[in-house]
Amino acid sequence: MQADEELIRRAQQGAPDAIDELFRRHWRDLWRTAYALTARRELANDVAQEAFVRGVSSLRRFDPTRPLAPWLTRIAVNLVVDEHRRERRLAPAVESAAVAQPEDVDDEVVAAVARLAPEKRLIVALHYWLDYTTPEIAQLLDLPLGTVASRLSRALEDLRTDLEAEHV
Amino acid sequence: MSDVERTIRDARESLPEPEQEASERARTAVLAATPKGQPRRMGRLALVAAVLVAALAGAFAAGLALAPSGSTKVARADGPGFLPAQGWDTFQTGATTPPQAPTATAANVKLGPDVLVESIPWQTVAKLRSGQVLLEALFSARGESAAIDAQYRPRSLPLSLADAKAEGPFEGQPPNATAERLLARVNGWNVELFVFYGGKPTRAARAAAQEELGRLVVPEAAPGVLETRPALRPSPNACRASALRSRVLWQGATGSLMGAIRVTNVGGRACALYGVPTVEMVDANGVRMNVRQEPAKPLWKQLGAPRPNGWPIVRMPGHGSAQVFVRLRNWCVTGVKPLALLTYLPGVGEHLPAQVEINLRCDVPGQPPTLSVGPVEPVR
Repeated sequence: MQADEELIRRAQQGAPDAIDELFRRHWRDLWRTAYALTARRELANDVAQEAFVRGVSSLRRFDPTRPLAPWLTRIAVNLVVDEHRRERRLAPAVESAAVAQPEDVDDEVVAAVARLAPEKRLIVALHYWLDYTTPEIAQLLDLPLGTVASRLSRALEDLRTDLEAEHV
Repeated sequence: MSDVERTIRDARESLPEPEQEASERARTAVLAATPKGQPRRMGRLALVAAVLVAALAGAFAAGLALAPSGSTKVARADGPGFLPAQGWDTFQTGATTPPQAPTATAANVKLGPDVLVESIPWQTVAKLRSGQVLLEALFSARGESAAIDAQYRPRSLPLSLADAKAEGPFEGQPPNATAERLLARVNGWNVELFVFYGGKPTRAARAAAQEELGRLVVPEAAPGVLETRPALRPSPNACRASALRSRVLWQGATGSLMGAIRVTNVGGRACALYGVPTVEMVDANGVRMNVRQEPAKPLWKQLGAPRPNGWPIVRMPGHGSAQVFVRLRNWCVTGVKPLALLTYLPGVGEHLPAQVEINLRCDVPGQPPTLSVGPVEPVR
């Protein structure tokens, strides 16, 4: 099996089979990352696709000796953060009931995270599922570190309450 | 780490899987996004050719076939292309669905079968003799990359060969031919035009090419092309298209029609709108018309009224309304009956149709009608 580095070099030369193979290797993880951040299948489809397309479109600037997955993840995270900011700008005009309703998912913890308010869910997903530190999240979201910490704390409290209620 | 934190971390393994259909759609889009900046590499050519073949396969499946030699061959009757003319053989894919890109070809020689399988029909180009010419126009949607878009300067139709530069040889280009290339932004498209000459470009060959360029028709690019991108996808917080109705309330005579697109929330739930919509016009056959859209100030600003509360966000309670200022002028359209305005509001995701009737004066023949469109605002 060809290493990612070799595939990336060939993809940089425009080889469709190399791009196809990179897609086959990385799509699933990238999509699950997008879902972790958005908790909505349709949005995850859009974000993951757009992230991959942007990644491939700018592949010529990518150092093939670096791992591809974190780079694609970073593009997806940036897309979601942009979307999050855009929705937040619209937030004053929105009733709380309009917040996306979580879709059916098998795992109760994933479902509970999906039920969190978007600003809390994003921080939880970044921290616990994508391993971002709280200072990194603060920088990414343009938030004070204290705000990130308090949202994370409140999110954990919400989750604890939610999961306990599930078991009552 | 607390129990809750550990539980959350462990749940990472339980995130859902992508659906097959979405994965296939993404794969198609990704394969079409071969690295830019190497446009003449065979890899890209093969990819574009595959896309073209796929487009044509669809056309053939729909019962369409190539016209006899010396006439226009079309995969679809819409989209950009060269008008038929005596002595010219033309081919066009018609409007395509992204990631397929429309192409249009014209030559004053018979086009070979390679036009069906190559983005540039090199075998036909190889047969060009002195005085003979082949034009190839590739159309791509704007918005994919600001750096790429910046290379395409806004130009008007007809395109002028005076703006083209001698370039090449491109990979695959036969040694007998010389080439000129022109990049242009036209009606929302990035247009990459190649003109190939048999031998050196003679004055007569350039004049013929320029004459054929005058027959290049470029309808407005579909604004819906970008609608699937996250920034423009339906927002959970914006009004749903299914809860909205639109109608056009404009008045005037001879010179211009002025008024508003009134949007009413017929659903029971309050929702919000914002931003400047893209507005298309379609004719009675459902074909998109060439109408130039330009920005306009909101009506409240034109009237010197105070800025509405909350604007640019416009809240609409159930059965409430919002409006978009519009003004139409320079109606030089003949032989086509306009049917409706299609309004694409940001975040709504789907267009809103509204029937129109137009009876206006033609001010500048040869130029498309101009539709000024303002941002959404409250009804006063």
